[in-house]
Amino acid sequence: MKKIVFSIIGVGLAVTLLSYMNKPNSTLTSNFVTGNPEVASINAISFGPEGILFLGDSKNATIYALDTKDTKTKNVSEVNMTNFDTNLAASLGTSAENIKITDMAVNPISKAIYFSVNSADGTPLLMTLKDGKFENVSLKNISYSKIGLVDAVEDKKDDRGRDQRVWAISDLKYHNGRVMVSGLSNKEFSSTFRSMPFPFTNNQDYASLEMYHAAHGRYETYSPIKTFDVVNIDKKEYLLASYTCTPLVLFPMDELKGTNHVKGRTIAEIGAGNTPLDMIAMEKDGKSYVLMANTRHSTVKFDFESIASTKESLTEKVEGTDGITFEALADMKDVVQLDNLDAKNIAYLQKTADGTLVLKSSSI
Amino acid sequence: MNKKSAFTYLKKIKICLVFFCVLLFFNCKEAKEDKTSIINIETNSRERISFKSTSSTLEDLSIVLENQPDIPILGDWSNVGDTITFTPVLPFTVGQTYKIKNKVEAVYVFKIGPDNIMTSTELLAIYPTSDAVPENLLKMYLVFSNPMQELGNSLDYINVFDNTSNKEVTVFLELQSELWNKEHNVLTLWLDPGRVKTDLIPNKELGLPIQKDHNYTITINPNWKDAQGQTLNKTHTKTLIVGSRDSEKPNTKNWTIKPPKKDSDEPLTIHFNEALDYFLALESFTVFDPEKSNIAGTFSLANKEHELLFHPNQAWKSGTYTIVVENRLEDLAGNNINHLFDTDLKANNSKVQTKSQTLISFMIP
Repeated sequence: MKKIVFSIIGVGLAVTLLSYMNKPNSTLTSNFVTGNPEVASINAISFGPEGILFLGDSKNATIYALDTKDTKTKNVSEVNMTNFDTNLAASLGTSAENIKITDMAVNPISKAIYFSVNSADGTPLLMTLKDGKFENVSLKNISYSKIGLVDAVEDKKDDRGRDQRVWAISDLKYHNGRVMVSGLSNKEFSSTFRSMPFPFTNNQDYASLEMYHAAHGRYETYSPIKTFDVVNIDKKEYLLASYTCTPLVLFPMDELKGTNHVKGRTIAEIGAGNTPLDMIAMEKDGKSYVLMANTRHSTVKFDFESIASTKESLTEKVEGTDGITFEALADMKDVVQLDNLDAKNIAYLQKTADGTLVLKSSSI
Repeated sequence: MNKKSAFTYLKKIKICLVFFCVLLFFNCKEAKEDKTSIINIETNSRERISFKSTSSTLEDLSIVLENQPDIPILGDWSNVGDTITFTPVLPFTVGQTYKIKNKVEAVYVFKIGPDNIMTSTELLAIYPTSDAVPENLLKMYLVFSNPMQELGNSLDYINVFDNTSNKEVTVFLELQSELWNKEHNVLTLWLDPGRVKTDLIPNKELGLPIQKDHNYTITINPNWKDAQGQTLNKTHTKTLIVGSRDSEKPNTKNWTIKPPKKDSDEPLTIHFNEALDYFLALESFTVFDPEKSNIAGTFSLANKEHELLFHPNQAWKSGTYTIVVENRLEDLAGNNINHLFDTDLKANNSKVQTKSQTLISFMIP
């Protein structure tokens, strides 16, 4: 009798455990499907919560959310690999000149570094570096959801039914339940910025962003945002965006709704003839900073307090640099990708004098 | 030791030697067999490689690049019977040599040759077709017959030489994410807008990308590869003869419509008084019949993008037709029907038109 009771309890426990295991433990992935998302290109990647990776596909004008299931917590505070591009290419059976690394993102939970790679023949690849070894994340059978980037302007299709508009996604970030995407269209030289709630619904905001482009001495709605991040100032969220030639502009997040036309406040100028490549916020010794990698200049470091406290708005033409001060990090020139590795360290890809890439980490 | 025992001893040694020789022979043979155990190899595909092997287990096999870091290539291994197939994550690269390794030893070397059936890729067109352009020319398009390589380094293959000042110049805007169409055979190149717009710092520091009264040669490098790794094999050049600034918006009132004849299916011709943007011109027009129905047909450009032809799928009837033009249609300087490219778009700028379409009508008697 005892045996039977125990068996019943045992079975009951097993059933409870099984049903608990089968139950989707996340509402974020409850509308995900498993299959081939038919990704055509990867231009930008960024991690959200629970190991969800957002991926911007310019060719399909689509944002994908992938469930990487890479959610085992790990502590990694250091990375180092010389000849990074040669090694990555070798693991794909080709040489470095046949691939292009389009973006890099650190999984904040597992600390695995993800790279989006384009091969010369157009094959988009998602790669990770785990314990010094490259792995491929198959995009053929994965749990995902997606949303198309609808254009405010209805486009005509050509006679074969193809949409002639092309998006060039320049940056992508997840913040507090929303995915934000910046880009450029091939037809008109216009900045395109989209913000959408995640989990994806049919909603999409098309805020048009206007800033005073100080180097240009006039309001510029045309300039495309190259890179951005979200910062919190006095308990209010702002989009901190940087453009070609290189102004740094703050937009209040709560105004980026619907089809609002939002005016930004330019707080710094890093100078003309330069293009920002990547931007992250980081902390050191209890202080916050914003780091920005550039084509012409070294990576620059802004003290967050000066960003938060500046009431500055550059509305007059400037020559050279102006606005809040920044520090140019001399040993971080030619940085092409940046991300936070952990609370104190950043990971970055840097071009060396011999033209190869090195993956490094630093506490700045 | 007596003679007999010495003989027996020698015999023993002989037998031992023979035994060792035989053992050695078998060992050699086994080693040789191991080396040649990969047979019936199929290397004519970039997608996968298949071979038969009797002595290898999947766990021991790997494929690496020859003369490169010894890193196993990522992909899927599978076997059916004694046929082993490897499908690499990225298809094999034409011209690369690969090694199949059994544990640490290379057992087979193969090279991926070019695909015979591929047609060579050509540069079909460079827009604008006309050599004469305004000094504020905003963009150019390159159209290829096949998809081109996707490495984001197109500007490495495009050289611009100022024949008037006798020097190489930087004209095009370098973009992190290049503007190709989805098929990756049409590239949009921007002449740096920050330099085209007057009074902006890039414009003040560097001047216009192309100067009035200068003559330029754009050279497309023949080593530029298509997506299959084949080079263009032919140098292409394009001349730009730079004229005055175009500071006029396209004005539909200056266009000439040549109405087609009734009952014919001849094209409707719209003559612009200037060259317009090739791709925008092809997609900015719709023609409606007297009953306000959209007429099916195709558009083409002629006379160096000065003329648009509409070829209807049906014959024309008599009546009043309407042409709807999207106001985002641009000329070569990026001026659209609503505003000049070089416009200060302040929120309170009342001069900027915001209508999205312009209507033009014509009669067929």
